[in-house]
Amino acid sequence: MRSSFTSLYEFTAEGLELFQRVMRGELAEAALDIENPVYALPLEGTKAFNAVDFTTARDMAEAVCKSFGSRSPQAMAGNAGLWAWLTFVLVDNLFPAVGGTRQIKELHRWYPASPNDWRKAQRHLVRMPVLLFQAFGKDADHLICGRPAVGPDIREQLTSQQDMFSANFQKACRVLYFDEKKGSVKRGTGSKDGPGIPRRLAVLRRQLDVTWDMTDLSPERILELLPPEFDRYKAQVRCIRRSAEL
Amino acid sequence: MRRTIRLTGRKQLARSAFSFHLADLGAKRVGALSIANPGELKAFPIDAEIRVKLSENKLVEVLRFGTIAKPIASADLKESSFRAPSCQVRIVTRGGKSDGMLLGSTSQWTLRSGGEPDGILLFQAAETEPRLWRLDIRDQEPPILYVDERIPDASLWAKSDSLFAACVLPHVISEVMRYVLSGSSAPEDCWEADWVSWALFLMPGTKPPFNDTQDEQRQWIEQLIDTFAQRHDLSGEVLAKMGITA
Repeated sequence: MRSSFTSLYEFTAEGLELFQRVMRGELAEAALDIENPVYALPLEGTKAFNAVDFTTARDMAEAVCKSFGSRSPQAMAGNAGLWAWLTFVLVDNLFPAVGGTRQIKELHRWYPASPNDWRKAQRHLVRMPVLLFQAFGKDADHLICGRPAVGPDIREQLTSQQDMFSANFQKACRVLYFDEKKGSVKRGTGSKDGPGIPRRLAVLRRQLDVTWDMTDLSPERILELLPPEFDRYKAQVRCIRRSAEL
Repeated sequence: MRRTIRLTGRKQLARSAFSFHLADLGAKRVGALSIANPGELKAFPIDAEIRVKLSENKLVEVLRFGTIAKPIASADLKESSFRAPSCQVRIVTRGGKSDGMLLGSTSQWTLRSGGEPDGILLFQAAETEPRLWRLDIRDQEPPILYVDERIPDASLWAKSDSLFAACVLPHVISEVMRYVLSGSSAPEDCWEADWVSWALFLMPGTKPPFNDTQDEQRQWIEQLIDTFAQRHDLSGEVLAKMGITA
């Protein structure tokens, strides 16, 4: 498949239909000819895009954001044809073949759910990293520092509530969970059980939201409000700061 | 009268005490807030801040409208993508140890252009291209049916065009009711309860199949769609438009 494009494209209704059949394994990938205007049309206002091998979801998101040109990824969040096209041209990044077969897995990782569907929309492997990178830049590092093929639990948890899409909240999350030195999430962050993990933060945020205006609290204030179970992650922050000062 | 009890001491503010809308001022987009009933704000400290929280499609923005003592009427909007955002007026403390504490808030409502009355399904013109329409099922407010904004008076057209109604509304009913029935018990005091009341109005004497098998739920939804179609003569209206007499 071609990997260099003069602009971003969007699947037509026919292209979207074929895309779904390909992803479900009913048709071979070659059946979807992205050069054919019946299946895909260029998206006006966007720039060239190279679907190269990306090391992280962040690198991928940055490249896609650049290609949006004068268009806003946020305004195009509901354009299923566009996100499906990106999924298809990035399929080797998102669903690499193992032993000759792709592990496609759950529908909403590759087919974009309605952007306001708070339970499924954040699972898409291209759209979510792009929207996060566009909205928060480096403050989304903890959510998109992994491989493009992985939709990590931290991303699912810390984007599961509409009010989590606030810059200050994500800044606080980055301080807690991102290891600046390693350029990856801190140890233990991916656990599904235990104190101070992202799952606990998601639960706690909802509780704090009853008393505090969480969407507008400063990151420092959010960190202050967290109970001692999060000290483990805060302590790592302090250690890093201290070593940087030495 | 419906009353909300809040154990946190946060005051429930009447939505009718505030009027809020978005307006374009030249190149700028602003939020404009007017306080119809200043008595609603009497109990708060005079330095508490008045804010409006807007959220839509993984996007959150908080607008500040001064303090109780010195309210201001408009605030600049950074984000241009809002079409039908969820809105909530919030009164928040400023400064000191309780900085950011939520003292009062209205319930959330959906801001729509066109000033249409409330209903169980909201129609809103929006960028839905390449699709003609898109359904958005929200957490705390009634579902929204977005209709392609390139159509003049799109929401009015969608409500009055018999072909659109006949083709789209059965699908909308099916999607929404499947969502409503996925709850474990009959909902109360929320938009889902309004949909159940509407269904029971159309099919008195039936029992919504919460906790029943998927097949039983599907049959009940089919029966609801048939009743709805019969009541509004969906197919007859389309045939008449085509000049076909039954």
